[in-house]
Amino acid sequence: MTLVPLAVVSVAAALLLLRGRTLWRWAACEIAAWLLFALLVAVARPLGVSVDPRLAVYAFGVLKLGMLFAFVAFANDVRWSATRAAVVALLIYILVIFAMLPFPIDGDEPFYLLMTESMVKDHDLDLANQYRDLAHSATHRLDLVPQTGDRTGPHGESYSRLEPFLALLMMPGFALAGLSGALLTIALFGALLVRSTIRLFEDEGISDATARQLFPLVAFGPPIVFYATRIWPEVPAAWCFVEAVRGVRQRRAVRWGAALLGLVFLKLRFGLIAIVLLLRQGRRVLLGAVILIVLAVAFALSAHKAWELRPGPPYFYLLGITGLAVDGAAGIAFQAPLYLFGLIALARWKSMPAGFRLGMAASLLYLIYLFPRTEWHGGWSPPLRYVVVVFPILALGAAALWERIAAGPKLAVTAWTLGLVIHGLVFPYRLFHIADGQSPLGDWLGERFHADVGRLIPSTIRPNLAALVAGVLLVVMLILFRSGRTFTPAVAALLVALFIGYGRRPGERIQFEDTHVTHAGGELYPTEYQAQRFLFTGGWIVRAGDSMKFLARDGRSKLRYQSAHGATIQIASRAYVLPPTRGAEYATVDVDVPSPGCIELRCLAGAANLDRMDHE
Amino acid sequence: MLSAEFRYAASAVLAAWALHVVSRETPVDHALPFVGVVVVFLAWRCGAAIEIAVPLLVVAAIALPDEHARLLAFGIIVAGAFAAAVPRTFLDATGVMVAAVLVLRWIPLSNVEVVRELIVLVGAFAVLLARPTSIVGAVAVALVTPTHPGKALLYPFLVAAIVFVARSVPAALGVIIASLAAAHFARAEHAPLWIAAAVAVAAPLLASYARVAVIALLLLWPWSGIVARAMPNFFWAKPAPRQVVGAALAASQSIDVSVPPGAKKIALLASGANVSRFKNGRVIGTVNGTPIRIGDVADFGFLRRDQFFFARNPLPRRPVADIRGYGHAAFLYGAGFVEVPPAETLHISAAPDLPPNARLQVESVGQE
Repeated sequence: MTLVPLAVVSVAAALLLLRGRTLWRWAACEIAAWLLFALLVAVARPLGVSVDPRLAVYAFGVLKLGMLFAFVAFANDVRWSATRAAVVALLIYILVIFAMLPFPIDGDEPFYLLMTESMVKDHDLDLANQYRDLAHSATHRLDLVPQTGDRTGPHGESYSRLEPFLALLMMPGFALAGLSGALLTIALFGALLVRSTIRLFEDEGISDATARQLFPLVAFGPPIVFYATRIWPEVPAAWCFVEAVRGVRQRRAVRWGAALLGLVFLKLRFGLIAIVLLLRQGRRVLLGAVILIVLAVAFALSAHKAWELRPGPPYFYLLGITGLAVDGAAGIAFQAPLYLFGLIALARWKSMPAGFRLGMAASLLYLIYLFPRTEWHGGWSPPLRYVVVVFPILALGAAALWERIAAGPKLAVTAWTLGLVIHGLVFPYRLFHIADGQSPLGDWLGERFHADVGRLIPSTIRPNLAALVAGVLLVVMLILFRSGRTFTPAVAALLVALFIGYGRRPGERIQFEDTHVTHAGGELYPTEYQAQRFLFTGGWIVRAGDSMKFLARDGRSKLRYQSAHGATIQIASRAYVLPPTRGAEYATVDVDVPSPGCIELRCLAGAANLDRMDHE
Repeated sequence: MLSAEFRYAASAVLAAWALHVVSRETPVDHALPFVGVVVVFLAWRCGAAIEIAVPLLVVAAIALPDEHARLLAFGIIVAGAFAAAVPRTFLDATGVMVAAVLVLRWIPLSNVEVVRELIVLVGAFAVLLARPTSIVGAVAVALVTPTHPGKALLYPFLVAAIVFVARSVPAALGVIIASLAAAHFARAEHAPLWIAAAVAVAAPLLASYARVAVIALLLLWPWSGIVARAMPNFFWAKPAPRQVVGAALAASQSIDVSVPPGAKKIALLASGANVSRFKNGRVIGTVNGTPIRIGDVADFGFLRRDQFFFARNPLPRRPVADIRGYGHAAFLYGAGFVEVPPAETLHISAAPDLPPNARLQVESVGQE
C-alpha cells in the first residue's frame, strides 16, 4: 500500500460517513496524523530506529482508519446507512487487496482461480491443461498439482474437488482484470456482507450507535477482512447465510430460497445449515423440496462421502469446541476476540434477538459435523475458515450485548483486533500457519526469548494444559460474565506481564521442533508443508553432529523418540543410548538435567526423531 | 459498587506492578511504573480509554528488544495518551500539566534537583494560570527552563506575564512573530526559550492542533533533553562513520589519518573538549587546510543540561546521531561532520591558539 491510495480512501470514506463539524474535526486530526507520521519518520533516522517500511505504513494506515471509525462511532454528525458502510468497506477492501497482491495466493485459492481461468479461457472445468501451462496462469504459482480428492476423467481430464460456483462467480471479474478482478469480486461480496450484516442489526433492533461502533470491528477485523480480500467461498457464503436468515425472519421466500441455493452451491457442507433452515420453513414445501433435491444431487456428484457425517468420538468434539473457542492459532479468543462476546451471547440464549437464535440454531448441525473433524481449524488457510460463515450471526449476538459491556473488555478487544489486522496485512503469509500446535504468537515469543512461552498459549491441535485451563475459564466466563468491568486495561497489562514472566521459566515439556529450541543442524519432522501435518506427531530429526539448546528444568526427564537404528545423544556431560524402535512406534529414555537453565542436547552417533522431553 | 477513585487507585497499583515486571535496564525502563501511574491518572481525570496505554506500554516493553525502538514506542504511546486527554476542569488541566512536566523533567529521578524542579513546576502553573487553555504552552516552557543559573528559574514567570498580557489575537500574533524572530537571531542556548515562549502564547490559538504540539513535545520524552536543547539540528543527525580515530589534540598538535582510496567526499567527525565558551566561527583546527570551526563542530558535552545555558557554541550544522543519557539528562554528543575534499591522507592539526586545557577531538573518518 502506498500512501496515496490510503489518503484517497481516507478522504472518500470520511466524506461518505461524516458531515458538519465532525468532518472538520476529522480533517484536523487527519492532517495532524500525517504531520505526526512525518515527524516519526524524521526522528527515526537520527535515533537509528529501523522499521520495516511495510510495517510502518500499514500500522499507520490501520491506526488512521481506526481514528476515522472512532469519529463514526462516537460523533453526532455522521451520515450512516448500511449502504454507505458497504461502499466504505469496498474501498478499504480494495486497499487491503493492494496489500495482499505482492504475495502469492495460497491454500485453495489458486485452485479456485484455476477453475475460473479454465472456464473463461477453455469454457470447461478440466484443469489438466492449466496444470501443464502454469507459467501463463494468473495464479503465479508454478508448484500447483492436482489435490488429493480431485477427480480424473477418462481422457486424462483433471477436475478439482472444489465446488465450481465460486469460480463461476469470479468469471466476469477475472475476464476483466485477471487475479485482481477475481479478488475484487470477493471484495464486492464482502461489501454486500457488510451491508446485510448492518441491515440484520437494524432488523433485530440493534441501535445505530452500537452498529457504528461494531461496524469497523466486524467488517475490517479478522476473520472477515482476510476472507473478503482473498479467494475463498466463506465470505460470499456468509452473505448468503445472513440474507437467508433475514429472508426467513421477514418471511420472504424468494430471498431465503435464493440465498440458501447460493450457500449450498458455494460449499456443499453448508447444506447442513440449509437443511435446518428449511426445516424451519415447513410451509414452503415446494421450494424446500427443490433445494433438498439440489443438495442431494450436488452431494452425489461431490468428493464427499456419507460416512463423513458420522459422529466422531466425544473427545474429538471436546477438542474441536475448545479449539475453535480458545486455540492460540485457530481459536476465536486469539484470532477474532470480538466474537467472544458472541459466545457469551450464546449463554444468554433467551434474551438474544430472534435472528441470532435462528442463525445459531441453523448452524448447529453444521457445527456438530465440524467439531470432531481433525481439520476443525481449517487446515492451510487463514484462521477460523470453517466458521467464518456464522460470524455475522455471532456479531449480532455481540451487538446485542455490546451496550452492557464495560469499557475495559471493549478496549482490550479493539486493541487486539487492531494488532491482528496490522499483523495480517504486513505478513499475509503468516495467516497460513502450519497446524503444529504452536501459533504465530507462540512462535515469535519462543524466538524472542528462547523460552517456551508458547506453552501458555492454549492449543488443542497439540493438546496442552493451557487449553484445558482456558477451556474451563471460558465456561466460567460464559456463566459469570456480566459486564466485564473488573477487566480493566491495567488488569490486562498485569496479565500480559505475568504471562511473559512465568512463560520465560523452563516448562514441564519441551517439544523439540518448537521455535524456542535453538537448532544447530537437523530437520523438522514431518516437513513443513506436509499435507494434513496435524495428523503426525511432530519432532526434530537429529544425526551425528547435530545439536540443540533449550531451557529445561533440573532433575529426571523422559525423552520420547523414534529411531530405526538407534542413536547416542549427550545432554550436559552425560551420554545416553537410544535403542532402536520398531516401525512408527515411539520409545522413551530417562535423562538427567543437572541444573535448571539452558542445556545443550547433542547427537553423538546414529539418528533419531526426537519428539519431546517431559520433566518428571 | 466500587468507587471510581478506588478503581483507579487499584488500576494504578496494577499498572505499576505490570510495568515493573517487564521493565529492563535503562533509567527510562525503570521509570515505567511511574509512567504507568501517570497514564492511569490521565485515564481517571480525562477519559477512561486512555488506560489502554498501560497494556500497550507492557507490550512495547516485551516486544521491542532494540533500546531506541522500545523507548520511541514508549514515547509514541505516552504522547498519544496525553494527546487524548481532555481535561474538563482547571484542576484536571493542572493535573495533566503537572503529569507532563514530571514525565519530561523528572526522569531519571536521580538527576532531579527537587527544589529547583518544584520552582519550575510553579512557573509552569503560572503560565497555565495566565491562560488556562495553554497546557501545551506551560509544558513547553517547563521543558526548556534551565535550572542553572538560579535566575533562569524566573523565565517561566516572565512568560506567564507575557501570556497574560498577550491574550488578544493581534497581541499574541505580535508576540509570536517577535519571539520567533528573536529565536532566529539569538544564540543557540537562548533559542529554545524564545520558541517555548512563542508556543505558550500561540497555544490557545492552535485549537485541535494543540494536540499535535503535545505529541511533538512528548514523543521523545525518553530523551526530553534532546527536545529541549538539540532541536532542530537533531533531525539532520547522522550515524558516526566506522573508521574510528579517537585522538584528542592539544594546541598545535597534529596527526595523519589514511583514508581508503576511491572516496568522492570525505567526512571527518570531530568535536571539541573544553571549548564550550567559544563562539560561532572560531577555528579550532584544520584538516588538509580546511578549517574546523565551532559551528561545524562543538564542545562534546555542551548540550548537557547543566552546561548548556553557560555555553556559547551553536549546534553543529551536521551533528552526529549519538545520544547520551536519558530523559531530561539526555544530550546529543557535540561532534559534527566536516566535509573534506578527496585525499589519500588527512592531516589534522589543532589550532595553535587553543587554550591549554582545550582539545580538538578527532572522532572518526568516513566516506560519502
